This record gives sequence, C-alpha cells and structure tokens, in this order.
Amino acid sequence: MSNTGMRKFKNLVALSLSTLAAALGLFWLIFILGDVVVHGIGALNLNLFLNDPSPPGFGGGGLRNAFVGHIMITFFATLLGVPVGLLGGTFLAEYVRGKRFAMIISTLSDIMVSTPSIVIGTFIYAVLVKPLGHFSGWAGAIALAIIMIPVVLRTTEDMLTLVPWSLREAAFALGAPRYKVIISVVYRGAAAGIFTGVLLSMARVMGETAPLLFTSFNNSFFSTNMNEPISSLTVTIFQYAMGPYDDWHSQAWAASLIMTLLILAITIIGRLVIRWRYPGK
Amino acid sequence: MNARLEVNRLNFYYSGGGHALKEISLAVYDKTVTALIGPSGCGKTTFLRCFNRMHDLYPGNRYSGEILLDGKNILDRDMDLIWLRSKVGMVFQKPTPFPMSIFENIAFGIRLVGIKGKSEIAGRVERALKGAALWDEIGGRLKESALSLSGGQQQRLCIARAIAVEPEVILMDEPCSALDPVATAKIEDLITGLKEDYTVVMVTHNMQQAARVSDFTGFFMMGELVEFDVTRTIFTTPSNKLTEDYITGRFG
Repeated sequence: MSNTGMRKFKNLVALSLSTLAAALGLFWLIFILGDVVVHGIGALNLNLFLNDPSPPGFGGGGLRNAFVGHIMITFFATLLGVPVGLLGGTFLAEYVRGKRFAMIISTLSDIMVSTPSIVIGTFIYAVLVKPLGHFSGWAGAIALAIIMIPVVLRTTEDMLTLVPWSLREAAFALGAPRYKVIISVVYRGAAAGIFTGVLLSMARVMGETAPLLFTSFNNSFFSTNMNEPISSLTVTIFQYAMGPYDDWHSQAWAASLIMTLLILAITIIGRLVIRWRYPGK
Repeated sequence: MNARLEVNRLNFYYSGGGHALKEISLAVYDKTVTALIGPSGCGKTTFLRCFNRMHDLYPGNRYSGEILLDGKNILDRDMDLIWLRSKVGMVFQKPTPFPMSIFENIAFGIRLVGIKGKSEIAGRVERALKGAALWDEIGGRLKESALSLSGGQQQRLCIARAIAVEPEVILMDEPCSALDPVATAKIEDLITGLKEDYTVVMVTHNMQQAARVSDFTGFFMMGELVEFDVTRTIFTTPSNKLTEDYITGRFG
C-alpha cells in the first residue's frame, strides 16, 4: 500500500472508532434521559408540589416534603461549603502560591474531589449522627458541604491563578493593601469562573443520595427542622423506586425528571455566565 | 535644579542571589523626564522597580544603599509601602486595565488615598482623564468596561489612573512597546506634558524615544550605570566608549 493510502486507512480507522465511541456514549445518554422524560412527564402534576405523601394506595399524595427538604439541605450545604472553599482557594492562590504546603493541599483536594460520596456519608454518620443518636438535616448539609469544599476550593484556586500577575502588580503599584488587591481586582477578574464553580458544585451535590442516606435519612412528613431527619428528593427516589407500589414508582420518575431539569438549569446558568463574561471563547 | 530622587550606591540582589544592580548612584531631577536605556537584561527595569519597592512583592529580594525621596530613605525597613506607592506611581509595559468600568478603574486609586465624596471622585476622574488626553475620546463612555478600549487608550487609561492619585514621581516601564506608532506618538506627547507637574522616570528600548522625550538619560549595562548625563550630551558627545557604541547601534 502506498504511503498516502496507509495514512488514509489509519485516518479511517481512527475516525470510525471515535465516532463509534461517541455514538455509544450518546446512545445511553439519550436512552436514560428519554426514559426519565417519558416516564416522568406523565406523573407530573401540581399535587406533587403541593401535597405531602399520602399512604400508599390512597392516591393524591405529593412530594412537597422532599422538595422543601432538598432545597433546605442544599441551601445550608452551600452556605457552609462555599465560604470555606472560597477562602481556602484564595489562601492557596494568593498567600502561599508555589509553596510546598499549597501543592500538598491542592493534591489532597483533588483526591477529595474524587472520593466516593458514600465515604463522606459514613464519615459524618460516625462523627455526627452516631454520637448525637439521631439522623438530622444538619448532618446531611454538612456531608454535602464537605463534598462541595474541595470542588469550590480547586476552582477558586485555578481561576485566581489565571488572573495575570501584572494585574496584581498594577493594583499594588497604586498603593493598594493586599486584601484590597484581592477583593477589588483579583476577585473581579475571576468572578465568572468562581461563580460557575459554585454552581457546578451545587449541581454535583444536588444529585447525591448516598451521603444523605447516612445523615439526613428520610422523613415521610413535612418538616423544616434541620435537627431532625428531613426528606430529600434523591433519598425519596431511592426509597420509592425500591418500593412495591405503582404510585411510588411514578412519583419517583417524576422526581427524577425534576431533579434532572434542575441540574440542567443550573448548568445552563453556569454556561451563560461564562459566555456573558468571556464572549467569543 | 532640585533632585526629587537621589540614589546613593544602590545594590540589588534577586532572591536567587543574582547581583542585578551594582553601586548605582544618580539623581532624578524635579519635573524632568529621565530615560533609562541599555541592552536587555542590563538592569534598567530592575532599577525602575526599586523606586516603588515592587521587588518587595516577591520574597528574598534584597537592597542595600539608599534612595532618597524628599530626604527620606525609601529603602528603610519600616518604610510604609502603601504611602510610598501613592507618591511613586507606575505604568507598565503592557496596559493593565482592571476588569471594571473606565470610571471605576480611575476611582479605585482615588478611593485608596482616602477620598470618599462622590462629586470629588467624579471631578478627579475627569481631571485625570483630561490629563491623560483621553477625556475627549472616552468622556462619554465612563460606564463601559475598560477592556473595551483599544491598546493605546488602555495605556493612557493606566496613565490617567496613575496621575489620579497625584503622585510626585511616575515610573514607566517601556510604556509604548506594546503599541503602534500612532498610539506611541500620543503617549510621547503626553509624557512631555506630564513633566509640568510630575517627575517621570522611564525605561525604553527605543533610543529615538529617549532622545525625543527625555531631559536626562542613564545608560545601563550588566547591572552598572555606565553613563548618566543630559540627554543631548549622551546622544551627541558621550564620554564613554560603550555608550557611544550602544547608541550608534554597534551592539545591543
């Protein structure tokens, strides 16, 4: 075979393989999403948002408790996790950049980002749930916050590192103290990136089930008390999908669809922010 | 003529140990433009960055000798760097607009020196933009992002930002090297005008530029100040053979 022929053949092989891989990935993605939409859309109704669960077989019940609980857990997790991640990332990028210490923390965070979330769930179970003797919304929020911290920390560090050093020098040259340089100049340069990181970390923890099973557990009744077990969408989906009733199954589908749409919405907002701040990239 | 800055036997060592400046002594006169020229790596930028202690941002750098600003040695350990940098402003090689509006870019420095009143800040922003010959061009677009300006406008914005703080000395590190000839001409005009109110020290690679805008010129080589004199003398009858070789383009 001539040289050109061989090259074209190799090209064809590489192209076919990568197309096949992409098609395979897309197939499952569309399959899963399609399934969720087909089953979920039929079960969507207003009662789902307005009513609490009714006993199986009675019908008309909803998942109000799970929606509210899920929002509360995510909200408090964000409130606890984001500031820690933000300040930690700032410390690494602005105060100890390039030092051994910083690199060790960065690497540990990378490991923590990929730690299975169930490990964090059992950890909180051991240090919080067991000693206190009961599941609680706080335990769930803290578990999710711990999952968020390394994500936010690393994004913040990366985004701050991307801000050109010359910008800091220019601010220092005007006589700005360090905290002013960071807050007024560096944060502004990195704001869109950091904000996106926060949104993505929220999207990540919103879909977590395993850590919540060990911490906030579940509650069949409407509750906003973070000191008690509190219901969440993901744990409810788990429980309903495993349960024996058709009502439960269809509600689990609906909840899955809503979950998916919620995460999709957050991701889209993140993308829009990037496009708005960095047009043309 | 009054010396605004007096450098006496200045030595500078980078954290790696490199002896970057050796026994530099010179005087920068009030309301003049002093140009620093020399081949790459000769220490002229290092020298410039001593005047606002920019080297202190990086650990391990070391100075010896003295630089007197109004009789005070700015290399003193207990020198207030925030005060110093409000007296000695700087414009960098590449334009460094902050990621905020044109107005906020200039107001940033004004607020730093403790001015809070809205109308006073607005007045100072306008004066600074006029001083940097930008008001007519962008006076109506103050709320737009500074990043939307052209390179030359960005650099003049940085000059406006520096003069808004009303320093005594303005340092310029090759302020035109990233600009086209038209923008360069505007900045050169501006520098010539600035010396009515300010003392300017600039590093330049462009010898014609040094000849056009400066009153005094220092020629650096390998960390040493080879010759320092009135610009006309340096460019017509330099006393050192090295200076003559450099300005006639025989090396560097």
